[in-house]
Amino acid sequence: MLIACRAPSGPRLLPNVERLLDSFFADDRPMSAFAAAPTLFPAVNVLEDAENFFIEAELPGYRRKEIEISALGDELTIRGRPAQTQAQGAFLRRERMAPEFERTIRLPLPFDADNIRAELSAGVLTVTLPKTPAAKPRRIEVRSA
Amino acid sequence: MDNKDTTNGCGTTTECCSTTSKQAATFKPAVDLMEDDRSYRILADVPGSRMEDIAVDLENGVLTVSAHVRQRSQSGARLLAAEYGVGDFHRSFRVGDDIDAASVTAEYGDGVLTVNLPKGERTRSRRIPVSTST
Repeated sequence: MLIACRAPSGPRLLPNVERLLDSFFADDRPMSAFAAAPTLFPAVNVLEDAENFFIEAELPGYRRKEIEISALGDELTIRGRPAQTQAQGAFLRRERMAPEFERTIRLPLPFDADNIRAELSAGVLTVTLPKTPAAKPRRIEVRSA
Repeated sequence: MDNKDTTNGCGTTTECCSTTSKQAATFKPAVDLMEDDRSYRILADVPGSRMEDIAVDLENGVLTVSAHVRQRSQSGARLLAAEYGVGDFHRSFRVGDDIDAASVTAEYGDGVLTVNLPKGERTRSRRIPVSTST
């Protein structure tokens, strides 16, 4: 599993940043264990802006009805169950995979499960999770005593 | 499982960090190569490409697949965790001269490009009827 911008050697990230990143992957071992990390499918990217979290995964060859998304608490689960297709002919080389899969991502802040949107376009799945008010930064005014 | 193989050999994670900079990386798409009686087929995973951004060229016995992928991160979104990079796809294949080059076709859907290379008449398996010689 490839994590962008994590050098395999050299200074580690601050412990609280590592914990924040670890908390995304409820079903994964801590990211500092580079050797023999279990392979997870599919690879996901997680993004955020002021209003939403976004989870993006590349799932070429999957149809909409083969993908199921569910949310529970602070976790989002993506499941895929591809229909069995008949391969025509023999494989000379086989690199692609479209397995049955299940993957759970834990978000670090609350999201509004009732308004999750998921889109599958050109083999890219994008799940948009709106943040709850508690997840958005709140400015607190400092007054003089 | 990281199916993406950067053409410059992504040996260390710091090389792959280049995908977060302005310059997009280029990846080799995962492919399946199939053969049946009448044709070869190449199926390539190029998720995130639009049909108009895909080029399939056959020249001098080399088939090249190029797919430009537009950056798709939501405008103004910050990357929190990344397990894969987004960039263009490029891969070439040598094809033998048993291909009927004029009849090669390609189609695209759901992030998968399928190139169909029909075998020339000469190489299709053909049953030759046997008649008596008397």
